[in-house]
Amino acid sequence: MVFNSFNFWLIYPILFIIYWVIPAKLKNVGNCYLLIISYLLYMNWKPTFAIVLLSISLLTFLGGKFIEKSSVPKWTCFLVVGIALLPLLCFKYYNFLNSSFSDLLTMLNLKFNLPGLNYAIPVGISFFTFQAVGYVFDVYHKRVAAEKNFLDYLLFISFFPQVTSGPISKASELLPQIKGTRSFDYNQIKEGLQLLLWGMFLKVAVADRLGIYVDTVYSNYIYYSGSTCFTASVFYTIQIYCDFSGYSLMAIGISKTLGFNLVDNFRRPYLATSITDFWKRWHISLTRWLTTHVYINLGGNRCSKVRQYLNIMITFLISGLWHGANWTFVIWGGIHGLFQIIEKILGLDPKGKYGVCTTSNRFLSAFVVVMRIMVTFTLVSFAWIFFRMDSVHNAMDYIYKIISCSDGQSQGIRFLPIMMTMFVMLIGSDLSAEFLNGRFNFFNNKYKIVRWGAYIFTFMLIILYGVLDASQFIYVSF
Amino acid sequence: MKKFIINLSIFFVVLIAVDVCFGFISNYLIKHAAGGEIQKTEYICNGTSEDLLIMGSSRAVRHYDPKIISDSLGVSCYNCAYIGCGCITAYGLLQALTSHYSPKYILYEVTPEFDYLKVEEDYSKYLGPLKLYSSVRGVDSIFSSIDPMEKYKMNSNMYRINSKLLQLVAENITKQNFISNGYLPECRLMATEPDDEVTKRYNCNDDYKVKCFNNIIQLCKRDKIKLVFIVSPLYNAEKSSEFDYCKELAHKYNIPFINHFNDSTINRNKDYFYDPVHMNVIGANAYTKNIIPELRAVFN
Repeated sequence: MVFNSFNFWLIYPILFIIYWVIPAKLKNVGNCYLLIISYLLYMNWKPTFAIVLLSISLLTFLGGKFIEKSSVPKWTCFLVVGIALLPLLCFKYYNFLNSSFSDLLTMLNLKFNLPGLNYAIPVGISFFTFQAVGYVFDVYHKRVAAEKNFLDYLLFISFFPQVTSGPISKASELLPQIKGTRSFDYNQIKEGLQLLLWGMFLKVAVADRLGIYVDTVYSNYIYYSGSTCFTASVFYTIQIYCDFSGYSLMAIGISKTLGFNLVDNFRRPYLATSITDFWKRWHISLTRWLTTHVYINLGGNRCSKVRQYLNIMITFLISGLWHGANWTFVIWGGIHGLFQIIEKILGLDPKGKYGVCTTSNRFLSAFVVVMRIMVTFTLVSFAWIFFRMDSVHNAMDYIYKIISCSDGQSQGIRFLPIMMTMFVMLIGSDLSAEFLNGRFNFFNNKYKIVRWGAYIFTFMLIILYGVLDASQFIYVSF
Repeated sequence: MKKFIINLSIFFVVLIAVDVCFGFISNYLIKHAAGGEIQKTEYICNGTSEDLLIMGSSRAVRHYDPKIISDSLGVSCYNCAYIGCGCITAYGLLQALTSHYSPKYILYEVTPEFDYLKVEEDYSKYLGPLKLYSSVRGVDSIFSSIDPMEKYKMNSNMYRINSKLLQLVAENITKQNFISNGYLPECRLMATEPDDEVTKRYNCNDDYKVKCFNNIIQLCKRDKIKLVFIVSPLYNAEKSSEFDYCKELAHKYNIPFINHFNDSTINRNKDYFYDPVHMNVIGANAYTKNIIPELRAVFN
């Protein structure tokens, strides 16, 4: 059940009240309650999906114990991770691998076809599989001890605010909170509700509203002019940010109202001054997972330059594949990897020779930062075209349309004044948090009337201009 | 805990007060809209008195000029079609308008994917024009059958005008003349030659749409309205089996069925279209004039 559905908003207050009615000292009862709710909400997608979730939880829980006791922990770890990744490979990548392999054989004039599989992919499988596999790696590297309480571990993997969409938590962050005592903290709950409101605004009002324009243009791009395609690609860049960060904020907000603190997943990514910087701000929990469990294991930066570049490329190709079983995602990952390698070679990454503008002239320094933000934004927007398109051919065609400024229909932007208001709110919020220490964050203004005015205004925008039919969250399919 | 409950209660009380204010404001704006989509819906539901009504999807909105029909046939005509809507919306509108009068004829542009084919699971997009009239008898049941929660959501005045506030204000400030008797002409030309395959193929019928489509037939029968099915040209289209169900119904209920889907006098001319599915004003004029003899024969 997505958080922006009416049904969720009907049951959430009830869940919330019952949760806090349970006395804090009965934390096991509270955890069992959360576990039951998490599974029921997950089964609301499709009951059979829960079998995959439960199997992966059970396997990695037992795997963690075996690794701790095993005389060959490395091989045990590989075995457990291999088996844990099997459902993800089968559900998500089987058809892709099958068709890619067949295509390759066809190119060699050979014919070999395995039947395709036609079933629904369990929701959030990439998220909970990575969280479970991350736990196994952490046990193997002795960063955490193997969990002894199966119910706590089940809740760690299936905790409903994050199971379908992340953030991907570390065992060392979430398990202690599950085991700890949680008390009703007014400020934490207020902060959670603020995040929930702002996340809802980003998702329902900004992302879904932009999505209508983006879907119209992208699905019929051959009829549209280069300028319209360009506008749609910029809108998609904003849409995917608001969609994913909005949903993440809702997940973090709901967790806070239940007394949990999840890791921040976004830190104003479009104000990044390089692609390397962008990945320190975008989908932070996934970047952290890939850095810890892939990049560093490959050798990270403690090797030759060429090997480091290869490690970056491999990590980003995996990141691309994680997002979807299509060559477009692989290319998207490859582009991001390539940009980062180029930045490293030119010394433009944050730790590079030209990573930070060192001039004493404030105006020049600000100008350089603005230019670098704009260049990064353009490069990221360019890569998103591959992410959005269903085939590499269409993506290339789309880019050609933009570059050649081709003729075609234009698509008017509906609700322009409202869209402008929303953009101002979004950009203002990010700029204020980035450069002005959140001075213009109206949700935390010292005057109550300003705070309440901001709450009511945001809520009104959601109801008046949100797309309220619980349209799917883009990242839910990952 | 106490502080939290008090603050949350105050928040919702303020929100309800704001919502009530929006109810008064939106009701006033709806009644005083000077022209445009909302005024069109208000007129269809409460003001229509024409002999002939045109219903259907965007293809009906763009393809039938009521003025040409009125001048040629000598009957008053209004285009009640909506972009992106099909029989679900049309049935709701008919329920609303037949409470104050019954037209003599209805010309229904059939769009299979909107009228009876299974395309999507979520019908809420068809409710858009009906939202402001969700409490009207007959319309309320459509909302309940599509989503039982919808009737609760409709208690919010702000939700009722979701996506419509600017339009409401604009229609009160300026008269939007581009809509003429419900007809919305499009002046653009088709810039690019489309792919060969212009329409997606859907194979099975949608139970709910079929039910609404049949309900329209029954309602017309009950109120003695002469219903005519019509299909306008689709660019470069060949014969299609998608209309078989419609033909079957037309045969069963003795409803005239005028099919220009693959009319080569129009659908091979690129200048008549602005995209493969919709004709521009030049095409619409030519097509409307083209069907006049057939309409005359049918109505007589």
